[in-house]
Amino acid sequence: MNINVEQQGDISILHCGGSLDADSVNVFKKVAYDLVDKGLVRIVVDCANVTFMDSMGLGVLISLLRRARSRNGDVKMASLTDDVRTIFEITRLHRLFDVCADPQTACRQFTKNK
Amino acid sequence: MPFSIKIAILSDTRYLAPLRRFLSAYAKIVGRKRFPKDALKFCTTALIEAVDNAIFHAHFKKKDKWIEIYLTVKNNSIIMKIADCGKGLNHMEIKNPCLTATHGRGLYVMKRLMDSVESRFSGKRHEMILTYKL
Repeated sequence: MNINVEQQGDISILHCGGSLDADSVNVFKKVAYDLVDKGLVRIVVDCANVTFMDSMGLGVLISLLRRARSRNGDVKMASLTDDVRTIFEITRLHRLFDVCADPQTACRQFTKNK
Repeated sequence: MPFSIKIAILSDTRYLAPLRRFLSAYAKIVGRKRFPKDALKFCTTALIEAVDNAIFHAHFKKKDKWIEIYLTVKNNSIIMKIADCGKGLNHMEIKNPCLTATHGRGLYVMKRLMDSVESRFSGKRHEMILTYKL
């Protein structure tokens, strides 16, 4: 998995590419948790180029969400591919996460809720 | 006529991506009629979940253990058998964990995607048999 972090004010957009699975969760964790540790707790995960996600990928997203929310932040999902959307819906996680059409919509949601 | 392949991988998450590509190649060889795109999507996820289970729960991340994978397409069914050295799980107890749980979704996902998920234990080996019916 490759991750490109884009900062828009206090919102961090993680542009992810590749698979978020048992093999890559540690890479994602390192990048994402570092942001939260630095106080950057408003995070958008851009999945436009995420080709595959398993339940361990879901687990790390939930873990990130819990961390961010414990510090009054949030994690929003954006641009879910069909495959990622399927696993989200099967596990009902589309009810836990705010799922947006694209990163800009997710950023606007953050601004709206400020 | 059934079309079967058997492969073995070490218990290492490095093999997950090659395994996905392998399944995609297998589906191509079998042909879209017998292994359609939707089936490939669901079978790929279920297979990876089963292999994750073998790596983390059967083999406790010991990288020198082997996982055997058997793929068969026959009688309008895609059958995937994943064999490890673990003791298996009680499938009756598997439910979707609560929304905020960070673990425990793998078996639930397999059961939602596949038409049947069976677990067989025979002394030294555990087999998970996943069946997708076309």
